[in-house]
Amino acid sequence: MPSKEKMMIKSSDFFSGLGLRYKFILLATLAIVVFMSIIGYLAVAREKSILYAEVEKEGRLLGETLAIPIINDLIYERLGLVEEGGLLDNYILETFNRKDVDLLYIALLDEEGKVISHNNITEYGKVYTDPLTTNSLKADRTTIKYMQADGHQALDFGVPLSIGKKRWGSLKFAISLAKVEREILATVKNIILLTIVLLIVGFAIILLLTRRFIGPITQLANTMEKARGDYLDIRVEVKGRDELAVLGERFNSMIERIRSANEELKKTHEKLVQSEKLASIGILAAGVAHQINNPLGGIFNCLQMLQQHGGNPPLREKYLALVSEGFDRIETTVSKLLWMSRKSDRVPVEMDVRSAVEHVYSFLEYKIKKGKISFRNEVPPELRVTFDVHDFQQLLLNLFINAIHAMNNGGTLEVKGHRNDSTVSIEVIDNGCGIEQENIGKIFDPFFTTKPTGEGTGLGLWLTYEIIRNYHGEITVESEAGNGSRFIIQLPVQGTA
Amino acid sequence: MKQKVLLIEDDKIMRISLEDAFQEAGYDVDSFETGTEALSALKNTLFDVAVTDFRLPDLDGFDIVKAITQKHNIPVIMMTGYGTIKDAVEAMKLGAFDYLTKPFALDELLLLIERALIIKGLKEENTRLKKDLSSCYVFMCKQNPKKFSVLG
Repeated sequence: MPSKEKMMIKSSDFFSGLGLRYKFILLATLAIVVFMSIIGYLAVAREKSILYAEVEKEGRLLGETLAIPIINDLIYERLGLVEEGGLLDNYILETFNRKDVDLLYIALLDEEGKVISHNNITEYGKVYTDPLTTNSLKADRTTIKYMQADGHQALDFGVPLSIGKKRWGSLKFAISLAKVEREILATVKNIILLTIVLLIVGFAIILLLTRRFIGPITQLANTMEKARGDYLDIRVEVKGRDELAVLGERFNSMIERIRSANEELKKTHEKLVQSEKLASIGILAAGVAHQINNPLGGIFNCLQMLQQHGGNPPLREKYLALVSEGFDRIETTVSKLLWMSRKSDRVPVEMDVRSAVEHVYSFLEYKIKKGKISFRNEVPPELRVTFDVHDFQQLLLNLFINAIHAMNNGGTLEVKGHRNDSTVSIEVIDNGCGIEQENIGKIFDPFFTTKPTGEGTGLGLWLTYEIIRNYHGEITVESEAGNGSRFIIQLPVQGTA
Repeated sequence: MKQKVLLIEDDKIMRISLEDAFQEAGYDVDSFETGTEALSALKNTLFDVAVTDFRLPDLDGFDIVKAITQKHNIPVIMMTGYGTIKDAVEAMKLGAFDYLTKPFALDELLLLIERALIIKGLKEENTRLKKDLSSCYVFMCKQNPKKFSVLG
């Protein structure tokens, strides 16, 4: 039946969902209860049979010992040697009042089943026709039957009063089993008590054991939970020399290995970032050379003019001023380049987006013009973000270089920016070759490039992505092959590194 | 009469120092910062030689060379920065006279200009002589048609 199966699955789910400690407790409770039930059942059954047998034996003995004087008395009465009734009634009452036997009633019947003596006077003269009576009037031996009286069980005895074939009637009495039942109840109570004690002791043992064995496992699990790629400064405490201690030690050494591997990875990552920065600066080389060679050429010319006309004060002034201007320009270019190639300190400051865009453009101006690309900086002047200036320029540089490469036959490179409530978005838009649909998911992967081998490291956009991620920002791209691309950067207003 | 140099250079130091050097060498100089200005000046003024930077804010060397050599018989000397040598060679195929890589010595440029002017002069003289020759030939044919019909 499906519902039953479902229930079984549910209960197995419930069990497997329990903690080890509760599994132990549940199993131990079950084991103790089943074990004690069997023991208790067997013990009670055995005690019950012994006690019943004892009561039965007692009853038979009582019946048989009473039968002899009663028969004597009846014979004497028949013979007229004794007065009718008096002695028998005495016997019956005396027996009924005995303290050692818990008699419910005692009756003496004649051959017809009529009461000739009873502990209760009102029963005199009644004729009993119950099965035990009729049976015992005919039987040779004592007949015993279970009966219910006052909510307790009792043993009903029917003792035939006969010698050989001669019958004088029957002696009937019942012994209450209340006492026996009380004793059995006491035994059951004892067993239950014992079970409870066992359960408590069991729980205590389980709790101690789980504290010793499950505690370290839980601690290990909690410690594992804390471990993160960037947080591996954790150790578990190792106590003793058992398997759990070995587990803890192995865990510690594993964390140690992960940490060293992580550090190695971090170093490689840094090297990769740096090499990509240098690669992107290499792309700038042509433009930079132009920016240096132009003033340098002018300086050479001026020097040559100075050699010829150095004696003429106004001319000398003019050329020296030009030489000085040229050197200033070279110095600016070189220092900008050095600044770009330097490692980022990652010190976020409030910075102006528009002028950063302008600054990066100045590096690429040569390349952009050469590629017949028109450039539009449409970032509003008041737009500011909290970012490391260096990182910000690096990410713009990579996006611009990417856009320039996408526009082999000229085009427009546009930068827009605006601020929402909690984010600043900056868009870098080109109308170049766009990205094939199948590549869109891969462009931020390291080493992914569509350029021929040897051109492009495939790290530019990855580095951009890494930088933005470091500032809890996001970069997305909308692109269609042949229709250009739009890179959208979203940075939290309070960006933190 | 002094020969006239068309100088196109957006870099101020370069432009001023070249202007002075050219004047010093005995040339008249008209200098421009952009290609467009220079090309419009060409319409009204006769120049003997053009010296241009390869990379200008508005045009590049190819545009300048094409524009000048198509309409005018003026030798164009290119000044290139790093990385544009390939382009300069390409420009020479289009008709540029020669190129120099920045930074260069002034004398080098002046020598190049001089050579360009000599060659330009020789070309012009050659053209003139050819023209003279052909007019002489036509004249002589008219004078003595029998004698020249054998050669013709």
